[in-house]
Amino acid sequence: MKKLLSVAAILLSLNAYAGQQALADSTPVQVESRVGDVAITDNSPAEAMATYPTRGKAIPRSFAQQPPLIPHKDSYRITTDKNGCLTCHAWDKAKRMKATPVAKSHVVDDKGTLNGMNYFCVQCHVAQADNKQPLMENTFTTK
Amino acid sequence: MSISRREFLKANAAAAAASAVGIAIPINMVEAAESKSDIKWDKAPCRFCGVGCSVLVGTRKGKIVATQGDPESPVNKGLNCIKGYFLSKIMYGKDRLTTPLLRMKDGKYDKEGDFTPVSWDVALDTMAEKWKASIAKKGPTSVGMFGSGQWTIWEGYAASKLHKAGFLTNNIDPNARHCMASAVGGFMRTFGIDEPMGCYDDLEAADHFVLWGANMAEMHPILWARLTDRRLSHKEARVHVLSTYENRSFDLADNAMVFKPQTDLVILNYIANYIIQHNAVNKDFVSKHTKFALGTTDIGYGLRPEHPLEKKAKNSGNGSSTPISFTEYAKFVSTYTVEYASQMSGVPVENLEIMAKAYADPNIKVMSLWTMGINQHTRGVWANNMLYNIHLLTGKIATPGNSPFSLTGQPSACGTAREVGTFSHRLPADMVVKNPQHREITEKLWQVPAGTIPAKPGYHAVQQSRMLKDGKLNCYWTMCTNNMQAGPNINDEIYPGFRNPENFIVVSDPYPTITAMAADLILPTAMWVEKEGSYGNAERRTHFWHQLVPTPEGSKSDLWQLVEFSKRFKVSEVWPAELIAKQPELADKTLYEVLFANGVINKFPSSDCKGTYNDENDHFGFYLQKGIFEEYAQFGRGHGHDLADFDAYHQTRGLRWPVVNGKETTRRFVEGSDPYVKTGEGFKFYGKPDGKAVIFALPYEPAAEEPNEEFDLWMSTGRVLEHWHTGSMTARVPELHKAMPSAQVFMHPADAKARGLAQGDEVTVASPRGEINTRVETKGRNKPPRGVVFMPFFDAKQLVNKLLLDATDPLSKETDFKKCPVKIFKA
Repeated sequence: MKKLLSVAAILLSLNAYAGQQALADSTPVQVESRVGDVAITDNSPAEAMATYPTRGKAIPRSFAQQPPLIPHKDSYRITTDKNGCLTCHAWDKAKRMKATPVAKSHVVDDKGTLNGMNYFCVQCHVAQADNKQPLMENTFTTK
Repeated sequence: MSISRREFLKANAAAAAASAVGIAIPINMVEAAESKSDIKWDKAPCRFCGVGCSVLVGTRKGKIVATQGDPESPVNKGLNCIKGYFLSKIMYGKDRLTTPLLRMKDGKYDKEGDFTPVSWDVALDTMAEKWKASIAKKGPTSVGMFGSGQWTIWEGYAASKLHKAGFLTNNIDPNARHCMASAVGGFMRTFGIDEPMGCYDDLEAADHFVLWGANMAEMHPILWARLTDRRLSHKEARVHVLSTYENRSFDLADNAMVFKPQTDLVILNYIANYIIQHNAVNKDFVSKHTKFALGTTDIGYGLRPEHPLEKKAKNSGNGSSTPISFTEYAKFVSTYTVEYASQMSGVPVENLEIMAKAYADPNIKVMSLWTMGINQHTRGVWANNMLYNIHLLTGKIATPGNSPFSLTGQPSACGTAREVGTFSHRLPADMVVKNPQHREITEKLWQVPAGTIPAKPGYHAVQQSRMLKDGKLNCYWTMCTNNMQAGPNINDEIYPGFRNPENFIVVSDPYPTITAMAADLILPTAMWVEKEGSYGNAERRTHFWHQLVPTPEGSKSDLWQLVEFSKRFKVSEVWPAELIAKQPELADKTLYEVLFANGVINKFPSSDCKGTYNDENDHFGFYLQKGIFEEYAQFGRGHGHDLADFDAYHQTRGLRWPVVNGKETTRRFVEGSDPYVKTGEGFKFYGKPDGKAVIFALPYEPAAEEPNEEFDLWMSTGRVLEHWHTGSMTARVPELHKAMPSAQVFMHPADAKARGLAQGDEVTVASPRGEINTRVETKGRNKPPRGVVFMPFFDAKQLVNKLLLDATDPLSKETDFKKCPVKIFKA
């Protein structure tokens, strides 16, 4: 983080130069890939395996049109015979299971039968590792 | 084009429905909904894969504040995959580059110096100096470029023209060489014209689907959603899935088949044989519209000429063929019996027969789908040819639901890399540099002297890496790609060339990728809707978008960079005297004046642009994108590649070429759909002079390397749903990163146990070319059989491509990323 700040500081000062002059006297910056300060030819140790919680509360969306994230593990099997997500999220089960019911936009009738286009839930809804932090700060905002 | 209120309301139906059904809406969403009235919505194609979904991009005060699926798009019908939904965040990683960075020591460029901010003028002037010196000293083959199937059409066109007609070198190649070159080779050999005859509409028309190695559930999720819908709603629909390991697409499989690597070639010939043996050849179609040929065999593995495998091959790189009869073809494939196919592939006889029957039954409409499993294959062109064989023998082609469909990897591998011809051997509209007439047509349209374009193909992607290492390619610019992570054999064949003291390497990218870190100069680049763009997807759909937000401080688009660079060269500085003598008035002009301000490209005023922003307009003083499009469109109009009017692409969600009299073409080569097929012709494969497609007799040949006593496992590599390629964009989206933070090695539990390994253990994966550390996954979404492992390549901390051999298909020069023998042991 400290390194990134230094990049930002130097870039700010750079803007003050504006114009054609060669910046022969400017200072090098620390810039690194998301791997960090590791040579390409080096072999990094493996990071901890991601873990996903067994259960969790609904995660707030960061913008209205975003598909809700899965607040628990996503390893429930979906096949043509059985959609494992519906065990809790089907309309007739969601209340009892304290789960979010399948969105109305995803169904074809008033019983909550899934539209084929929406059948494989994990194409749009993904779980979040509980032992990992974002790799890089993201400045997206709806403000 | 901003969308109408009606469209907007429709787009928001999902959100509205969610609240109607009484779902608790998290607080953030409520805030967003309340303030949405001042969001401006525009359309743009998704930045990621070759499916080409359309998204609605919501902006406010010069920033993206939301993205969502576009309900008006015939491709995705309002849906996106998880990556598409998070497009809103890809531009906002905190570490966006904001200034050119040059390696310097003591105020001067130094290969061993540290990255130092410089102005754009210093950056481009330094480059120009290097390029000029190199061309003067070693000639035009010492400079080159590696581009992208993610370039916009105008970026690819500008880059190709700058190299082929400006620097007089064909050393330009796109990363599409790594993904679609074998598909191109297959199309050109069988049909004489590139890209699928069918379209996505076939997904709703087919009865049976056969996935040849493609894991569409993760890699083409929206087409998978459409296929799933067909499977669940059409009683006769069945899904056959072939792969070297069980993956998410197997969840929908009616006929699941795991085959041994490389034996797809055997299975393909078995199906052809089955069709013949069971009298299922469509004789009328075959006699009228096809012919047969025997391909040259023992063609090597596209390695360096001194490699033992290349020396051993009798016909290294030979793509020739000789005409044969149907009887000779039938005899050729007759040895590919079901027993042989089963024994070689490991797929039970019963499963093979179920699939073969579907192809042979005239009443079943079959759509075959494939991508990297077939293309990234040392016999990738052959495998593509062999897939078309099956559809041609049965006449199941170019009609609704009968569709051999080559899926595309990148968003504009078709539109840019292939159609514009940014390959080292190609020119626009399927023309090639080797053909004197093609060069002449191109030189005339480009208004440059005869003899400007070199006849010899340039260095292709893998050859570029080798020539950088060998010091023959010395000035190198890569754009919109991350080859240090995505290319093969990093340690031995890519990294050395970047750091070779003789070479000057420039990388244009929005983010500090590992390729950028290995460069000498980094150029910060505007991305996606920070510029006006144009992509062409897998079903020949060309679509455009406007620049929707201002370019971030310090960044410039690839197009700006290319065109601005051309201003720094006088013709007399880079062309030989004998070429200038043919058009002496050009001598003192700049390449910019000759190539871009040429009376055609600078013809359209900035005021023609209907977008809110267009930085190139502002800088160059004319509508650069439109000018390039109009010059480029001349190549294809009237020649089977007709494009519509420029504005039509901004107004629609794209159109499928050829677009003739304003009408797009859903299926080519067939009467009634394709304007190039006359009444009474039925079918016409007009890419070939005699109108006939070629059915090729080609054998099984082994992979370049197979597991042995020491390296005892096959390793395949590939993508994952949550990340796009090397993760430069998606790893910076917190939600996508937390969904899939690191790569793992997917492994059979018994293979793990046999090595004393358990789920989650840290291991070293090694090949003769390198080692990486990762963790064992025995319960994940991919379930390989014994003897096979899979690793994705998105994780920059685990450069799995270090392990790969740079063996390619000798015809397409595309690397086999799917078959690398490795060993695995506890770290």
